[in-house]
Amino acid sequence: MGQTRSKKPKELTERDLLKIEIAKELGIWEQVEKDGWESLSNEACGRVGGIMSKRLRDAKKIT
Amino acid sequence: MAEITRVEDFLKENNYKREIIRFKEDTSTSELAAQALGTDVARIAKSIVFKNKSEDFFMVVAAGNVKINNKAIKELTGSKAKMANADEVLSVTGYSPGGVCPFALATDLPVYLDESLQAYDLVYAAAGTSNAVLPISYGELLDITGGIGCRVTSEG
Repeated sequence: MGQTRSKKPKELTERDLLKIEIAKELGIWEQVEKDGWESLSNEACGRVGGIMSKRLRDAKKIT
Repeated sequence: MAEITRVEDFLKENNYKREIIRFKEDTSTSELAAQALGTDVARIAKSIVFKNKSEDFFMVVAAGNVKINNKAIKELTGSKAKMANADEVLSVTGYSPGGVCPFALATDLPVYLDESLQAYDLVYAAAGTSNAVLPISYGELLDITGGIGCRVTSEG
């Protein structure tokens, strides 16, 4: 069997990096790394999403 | 038509090769879109804008055959939420109801992608107007919306 080429890791977008940063701040990044974003509770999802859109809005105000 | 151009430009800027499918007929509901496409309503990605008690807007994208679970929505945003009205949808997304695309939005509202979208490799999201749809995968939706996966629905 030929060696399967390892899939190139997905390039992280700015939003991905922001999501990771927020997850780390909330102390849930280890869980995400281990079990994926889907493992988060709805509360945790909501917190990440809420903080993320606030930061994006604030960033736009500054520029 | 400007809305479709906005969606097309966003796709190009983000290197997505997906092509918008345009119809003569109306595709403004999940059922009508499924009918026009000749596919199952479970393959339609419906984008619903909500407003919570603190007047924060957010979007939930889910399969066309599932029902949004209000208790789960409350867990998601910490307070009860109701569907935004047509004027609110237009002002926060830049699209009229029936053509709400889950990206290239007028404002930065959080986007939550329900796990029901993972039932198929490809789903069809509205592409800015009520007679245009875009085939896209769950993974691509996650990337392009910068959204977060969640579980806020139950079978229809």
